[in-house]
Amino acid sequence: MGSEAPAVDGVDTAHWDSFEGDRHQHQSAYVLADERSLLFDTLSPASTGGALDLVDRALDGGNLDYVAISHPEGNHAGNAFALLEAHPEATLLVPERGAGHGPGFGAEHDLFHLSAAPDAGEGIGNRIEYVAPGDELDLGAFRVEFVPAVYADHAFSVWMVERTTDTLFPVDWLGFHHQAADCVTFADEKDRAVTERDVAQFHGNVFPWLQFADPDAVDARVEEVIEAHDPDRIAPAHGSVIRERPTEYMRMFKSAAREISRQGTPERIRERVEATFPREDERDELGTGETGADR
Amino acid sequence: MTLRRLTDGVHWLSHCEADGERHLHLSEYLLDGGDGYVLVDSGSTRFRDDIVAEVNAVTDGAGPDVVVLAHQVLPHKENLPAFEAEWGDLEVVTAVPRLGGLDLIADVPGFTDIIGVSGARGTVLGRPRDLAGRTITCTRPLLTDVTVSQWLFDHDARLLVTAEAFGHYHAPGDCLKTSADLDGGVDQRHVTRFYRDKLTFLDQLDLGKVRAALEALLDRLDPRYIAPIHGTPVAGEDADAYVDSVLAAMDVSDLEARPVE
Repeated sequence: MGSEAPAVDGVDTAHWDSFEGDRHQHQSAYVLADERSLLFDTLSPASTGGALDLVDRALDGGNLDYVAISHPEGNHAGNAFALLEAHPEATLLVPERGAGHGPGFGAEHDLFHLSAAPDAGEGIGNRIEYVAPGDELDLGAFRVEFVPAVYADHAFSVWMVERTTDTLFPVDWLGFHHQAADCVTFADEKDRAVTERDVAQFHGNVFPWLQFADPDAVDARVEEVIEAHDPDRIAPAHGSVIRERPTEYMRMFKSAAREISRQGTPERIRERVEATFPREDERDELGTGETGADR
Repeated sequence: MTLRRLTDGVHWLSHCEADGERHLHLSEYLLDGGDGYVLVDSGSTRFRDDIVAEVNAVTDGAGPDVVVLAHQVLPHKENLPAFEAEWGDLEVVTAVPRLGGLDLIADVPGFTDIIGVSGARGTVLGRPRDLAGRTITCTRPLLTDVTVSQWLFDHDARLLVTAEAFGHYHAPGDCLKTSADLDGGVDQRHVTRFYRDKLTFLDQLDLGKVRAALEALLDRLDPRYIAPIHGTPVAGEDADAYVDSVLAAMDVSDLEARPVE
């Protein structure tokens, strides 16, 4: 993503200038390996070969025992079948139930073909297990526990905690963009510190519902997450690994949610609706009355 | 055959999955532009043969000219390769992320590869476009779960197609019914269960803002039908009651007093 701030009516892009070079967004997966090994998420199908290679390098000749998928979205689960074919000994771990107020539609997993690669004709031979919050795995030096995904997009989602290092893996939560030179640095190593504005921009994209958020309710939920996990490290899918002051980042999200929620006031929504769908007598005035062109 | 003509130029391909006594629609909509056809969503491979047969029946074997994806999760996009094998090259229009957050729309290089729909064209949201003879505006969903999603409004038929987060389950036997065919409209229990199952953030919403947003959109569009990918089409005259039902479903302030069946 380029850092040059384009002129867009009504959008504050000024802070993009504070990035040197291109703006990037992480797409991360994590390997935990000791006596047993686990891969958490599988990266995008746009980079299948690269994902397989990276996993092999991380395993350093060892076996892959578990492939855990946080949720069945392409950029998180898209290499699952390739990885399982490459590692027939690996067990696929997928969320057992929805992360919301209901258990989830029971047949939904079938729609993601967890037992058969599309067009393959035959199902994969790997073992499949469903995981729920509270389920634990002993990997040797590492002990992972699956925990509720408080901030998730797809309902069938799960977060993970590693107890030895107290690392929280919050998947789509707590991401932020970084400069091109900072792709493999930790958050505390960056020349350009992560700002509240960065966190707001990322989450405005990822969780559109935040425009309708009750900020006080978000504050309360974030504090519950902090109390429940109080991690030493945070390893998100779309942001750099946070090793210092993790709760500060979690509380940045509260400010971000408050800012994004201002986009969803009845007045702002009405303006957007009227601009998108002008009546005949409003079209010339708004300059949006053309039809038929690919703009 | 699970095909029903919904209104002039609009065909509803009603497919669904069963989970006990609940069914979940995975519908597609085929829009007749006179000289061509727009297919909204490609559906699951599980229903591929039916979808191809139904599209062929309507298009006399020509297939669609344009496929618009509500979003890129597997059951919505996964028939694209088979469709191209069946009907040749298709124009595929897909949602793109809102780069930088908030209101800015822009293309992200390689994004369609990242989400597994190589060759698709990113939608330009919020502007009417001619797609195969239909005037269609793609818009950011007011409610969604999966981030990169779009709703679309077909101006010709006043059809508002909604994807995730504006749907509901249905009972076995009601798979081809619209709200107008159901005594009492869409069953509140099916709406409530859907929202509790699908949306993880209900407890953090300001429902007054959600209601105002839904009413602003529907007042402006006055749709003849709200056509969910995951629900029974809702006739325009039932829209107000449906919004009430959706708001009731999203209220999780006192779950013990109002458990969902």
